[in-house]
Amino acid sequence: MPNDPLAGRGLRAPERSRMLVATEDGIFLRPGAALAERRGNGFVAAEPREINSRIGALFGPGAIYLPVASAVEIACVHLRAGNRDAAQRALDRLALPPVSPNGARLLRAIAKRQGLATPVFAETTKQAGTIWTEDDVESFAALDDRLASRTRVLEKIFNPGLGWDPAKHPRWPEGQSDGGEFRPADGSGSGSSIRPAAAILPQPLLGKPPKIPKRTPPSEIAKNNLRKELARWLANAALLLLDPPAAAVISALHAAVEGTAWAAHYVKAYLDPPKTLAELQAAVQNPRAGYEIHHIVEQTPARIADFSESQIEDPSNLALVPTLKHWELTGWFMRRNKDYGNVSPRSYLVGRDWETRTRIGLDGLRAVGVLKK
Amino acid sequence: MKRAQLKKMTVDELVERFAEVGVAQGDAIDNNENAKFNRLYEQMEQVDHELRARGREARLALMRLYDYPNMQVKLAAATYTLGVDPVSARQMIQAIADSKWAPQALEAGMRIINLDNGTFVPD
Repeated sequence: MPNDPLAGRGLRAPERSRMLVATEDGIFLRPGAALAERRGNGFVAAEPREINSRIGALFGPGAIYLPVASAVEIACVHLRAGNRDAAQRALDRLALPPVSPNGARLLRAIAKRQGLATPVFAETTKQAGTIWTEDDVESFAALDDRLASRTRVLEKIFNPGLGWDPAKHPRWPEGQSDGGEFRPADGSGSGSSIRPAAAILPQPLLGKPPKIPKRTPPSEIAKNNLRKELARWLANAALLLLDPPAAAVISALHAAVEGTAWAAHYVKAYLDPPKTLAELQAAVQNPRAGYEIHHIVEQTPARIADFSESQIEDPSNLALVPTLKHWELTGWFMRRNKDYGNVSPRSYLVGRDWETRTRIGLDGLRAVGVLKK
Repeated sequence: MKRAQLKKMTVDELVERFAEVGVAQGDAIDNNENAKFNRLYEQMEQVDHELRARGREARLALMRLYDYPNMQVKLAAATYTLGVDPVSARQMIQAIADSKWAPQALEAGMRIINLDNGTFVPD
């Protein structure tokens, strides 16, 4: 099984030595690489390429799909506001995987070169990609010599005295199919809370970008299908750290969508970030292309249940939502859902009061990413 | 697939069937085929029912789908294992929510909220 970003998610912060710390001077990756640094009154994040390079070296190539750059940005916001604890919490939520074998060798080599204590951290025994030679490790470790003074200052922060206890986190023996991976402490055959799992966002999930036809699609159905496909692809593409050629494809697709009268408004609206309820309700006064007015308590079921017209059409029950999201919301109401006792939200609401309908209606808006959580 | 056929399957085959249904569910969501999704939902329930009949270890076998390269399958596997390994399952659901991958991340986020507020109580 490859080394992957979600491995080790079960490690709670107090049980592991931190790999990322927020200080008043910036955000640092063990042993001392700056992922963001103070510049005057602000904090500037390192280039994504630099961040990926550092993360990949320590945690394996799959780890670059973790939203590290986003977490660093969020932590910077907290640091700018003077809230170091919140910044650290943002970094801890990232739940980095155990260190890869290459990364472990690198950390030990750096510690040896710089006279630091032997570092303690969670480690896997399987390496995805190339296994470095001893010369590789030494030459990479030498690159960090220039950081020695900072590394010494950070050493205590990275080792708060609650080190990794291998006895609490036993592994399957070498030679087994799962050799080297974590196993449950109780020795049972499955159910480990630190079970390795696949990269959460491998690039192949995205698939090829949709093609925009030279001619306007002939029917509304064809247009709608392509609008949805374009919108969803662009939304998901924005989540992946893509190499420059792929990023260029995304930019070109954005530009092509902008040039279509039949898709631009819909796609642009779909990519809106979530808003507050007050914003969605106020926007009803300003309807525009790409958006539709949505009834938070669904109107047809509400009429069937004899709720009054004034209640159904009250401004508090209306929200302006992107058209494509509106369709997704309709689907959400219709699909069976574990959260509502294995029935669809629409079925769940039969016979329920207005307040419950409003609450579930707001759940729906959150479930399609229109309303802020 | 009929229940009798599920009864003849090994745990590995049931896990494979679960993944197959999950992939189809994801496609149904993408294509707005809600009636089809609901039929597939019932099929997944039947696989779960059969796994439950074989005990905790059989249910835990769904955890191997946490590695599956399809977000709908990952989310379904995590949801259906909440009752037997709540810590790992919740972590997987949280990871899916954090990924922001639409539409599963949004559903995962709601699942966490509904777990916390007691709307959804896994068994």
